[in-house]
Amino acid sequence: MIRLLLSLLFGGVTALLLAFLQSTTPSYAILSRTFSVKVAKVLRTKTIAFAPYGKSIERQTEGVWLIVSVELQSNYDTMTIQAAAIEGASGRLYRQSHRADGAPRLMPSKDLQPGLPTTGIFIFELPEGETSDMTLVLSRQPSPQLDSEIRVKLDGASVETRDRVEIGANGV
Amino acid sequence: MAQVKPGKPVDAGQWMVTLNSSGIATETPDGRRVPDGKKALTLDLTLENMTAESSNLYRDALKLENVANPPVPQFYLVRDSDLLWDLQPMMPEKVKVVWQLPATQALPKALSVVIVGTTYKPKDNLYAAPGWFNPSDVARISLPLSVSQGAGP
Repeated sequence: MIRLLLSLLFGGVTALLLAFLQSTTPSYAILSRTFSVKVAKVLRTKTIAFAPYGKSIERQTEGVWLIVSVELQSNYDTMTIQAAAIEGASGRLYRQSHRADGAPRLMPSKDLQPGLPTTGIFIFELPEGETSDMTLVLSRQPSPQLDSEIRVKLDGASVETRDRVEIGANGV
Repeated sequence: MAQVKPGKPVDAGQWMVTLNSSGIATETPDGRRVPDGKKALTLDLTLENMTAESSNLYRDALKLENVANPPVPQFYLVRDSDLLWDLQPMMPEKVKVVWQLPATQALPKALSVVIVGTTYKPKDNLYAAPGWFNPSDVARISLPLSVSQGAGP
């Protein structure tokens, strides 16, 4: 009898403890074994501007620029995001644009430290038609393999459209 | 192999290639001077990525036939006047290719360019992964080389 009560008590305490731990965990949208991501903001624009080394650069596109602002966290060790892409409505994969290299706050240039949420942006260039249905694909390895890939469906309604986006040190 | 006129798109598997013109320049498209003792052979084209993902595998799509020992060319994105990296699917761009040759090298009146195409395999023999294989010459294009564009040594 005592043993039964004890095991019930133990079960209850465990449940409470786990509930407490869960409540103190940040509500990340998506978790993988090695890292987690929360999409903060998605911007669409025709023109981006930034100033690497003090000289202003403007980049136009025939399609649209997509700027995805994220918060990332590593679970165990120091890591970087090696690959990021948008899967468009047609299923084609649009990798991060090198045309925006040198823009401030670009995520690939940052280390993720375990326990330290890090914010930054990814910049993609894609045809307008692809933006009706988009999935953000992030991976710890250059080409996604098994558990290190996270896919986030981007909600079309929450995408903000602007004529021109200036990418400064404080984000977009 | 098909002989194609300049300005006509050629389906090369991974790439839709349209060769427009060629010339000789003393500056690269990013505004840098070509080093002394060299000249820049340029080729203007439109490239479209026909594959399912961003790619920079366009270097093997072009071959110069009648220029001796061409060096590895540099590709520039005309829109940015800067180096070309990836091309995104379904987004054709104007591209300039530059070969830096010795200033004394004799060049033909018309440049003969061969476009090399690849074929899609849904499953390759090793990993059963999709890919583009078997490069083969698809088309030959003859481009008049306008020597008037600052060809001086």
